[in-house]
Amino acid sequence: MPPDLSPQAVEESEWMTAISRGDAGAFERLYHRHSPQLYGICLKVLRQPADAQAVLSDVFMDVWKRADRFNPQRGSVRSYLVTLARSRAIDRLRSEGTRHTHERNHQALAASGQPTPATNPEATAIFGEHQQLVRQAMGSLSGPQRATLEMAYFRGLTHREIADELNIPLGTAKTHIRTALKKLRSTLASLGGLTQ
Amino acid sequence: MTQDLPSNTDPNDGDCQEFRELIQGELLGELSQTETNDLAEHLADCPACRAEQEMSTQDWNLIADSAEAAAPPPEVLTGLLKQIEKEKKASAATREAATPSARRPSPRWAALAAYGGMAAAAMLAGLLFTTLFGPASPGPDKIAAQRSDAERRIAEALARFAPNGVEPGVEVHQASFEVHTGQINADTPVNAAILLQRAAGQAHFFATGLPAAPDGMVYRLWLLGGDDKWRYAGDLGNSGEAHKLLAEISPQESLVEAVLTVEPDAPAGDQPDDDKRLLRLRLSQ
Repeated sequence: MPPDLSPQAVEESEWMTAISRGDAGAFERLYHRHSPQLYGICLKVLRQPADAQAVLSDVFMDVWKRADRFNPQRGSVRSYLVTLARSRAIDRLRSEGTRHTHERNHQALAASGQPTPATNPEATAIFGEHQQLVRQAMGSLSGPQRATLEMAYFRGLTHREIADELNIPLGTAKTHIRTALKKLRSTLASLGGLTQ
Repeated sequence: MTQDLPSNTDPNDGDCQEFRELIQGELLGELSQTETNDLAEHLADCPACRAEQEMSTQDWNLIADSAEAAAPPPEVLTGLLKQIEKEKKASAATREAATPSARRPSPRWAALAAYGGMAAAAMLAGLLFTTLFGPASPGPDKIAAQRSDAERRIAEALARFAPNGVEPGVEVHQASFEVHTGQINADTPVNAAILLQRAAGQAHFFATGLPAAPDGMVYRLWLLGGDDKWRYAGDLGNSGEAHKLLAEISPQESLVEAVLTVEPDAPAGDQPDDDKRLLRLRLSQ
């Protein structure tokens, strides 16, 4: 994957270098820029604010301890953080206790209303418009396409697990995801949300 | 199935179709090690599938952006900064307490040198590396002294067993001296160290000085690949002088870390739990 050379990506790569040298200020700047999105992902996966906060803390402590492991040639800081947050959140979801309460948490979060929207102006300015377009593109998918994609991404389910849960053939689950990914790309491109 | 193919169809299209399915399976994290290796092999030779993989990964990562951003409560950052401050203080105290010999410019976990032959490896394993992780925090002075002592022993052992230098193709990594406490026995201080020696598709892993694992528990080795995914490498057997494991490692496999855990003797999970980690061995920069 070619490195992301946008000004934000370059700046964040420098922050990671500074963090690896023990610069807490750089750490804080990185946190302010990315914590709303990462917390949003953790909440979407886990549905339980306490769990999401625990995972968010884990992710950023991991960044603090292992920033030297970040390799800008393999992707942007943002991709690195998103991958880490999703992976940690799904691991927590898979843990026995959390798994059993997942559906209940879905209901609990729905009943308690939405989490506090992100208020970080910098993060909103940088990512807000793009995220809006992605949500619009996701909204253009058919119900089954969106459901399978979200089950795979936000719950970490395999094709087989999705097929079983939706009571559809395995091949259909695979097709839904493949088609959904292609449609997501084409819709986003038509909305001007892709740079290539 | 009979179907007319367009004239510009790749002659390997049938194979590629199979690998395109694997690319999607990879995104969902459901490939076996064999499938992962097969896919990597194919991608190395197929630019079209490499492009497909890159695009699919980009599309996949877009999904994260559909999650509504939300402001975490301020206590999260406050807690993180407190923890960081605490760690910085502990680290500064350790540096201050270190002796001059312990501060010489050698990386914490640098590949030291290597020499071939498994017999030699076994001899080295019996002699190398002592670092301490105990149930109660041993204090920065003691940790620094242990590090210094371990570095001296490493240098002596290598001088004895590899006086003429290193045979090519063998890597040796030493423990990172990361201290974890309390997981084995809350009452007994433990001196232990880990060593991984890798060559020709195999990695020999040694841990010296570990006590017998508690009843119902096993020592377990985990490897973190360059793709940021963990894999369970196996449980360590106890030979008396050292706990050992021979793990199969693909020559192309990129390894970032090895982690030693003590866990219940049950099927391994997907990755090592943070609270079960004893020692971490970093394998690449």
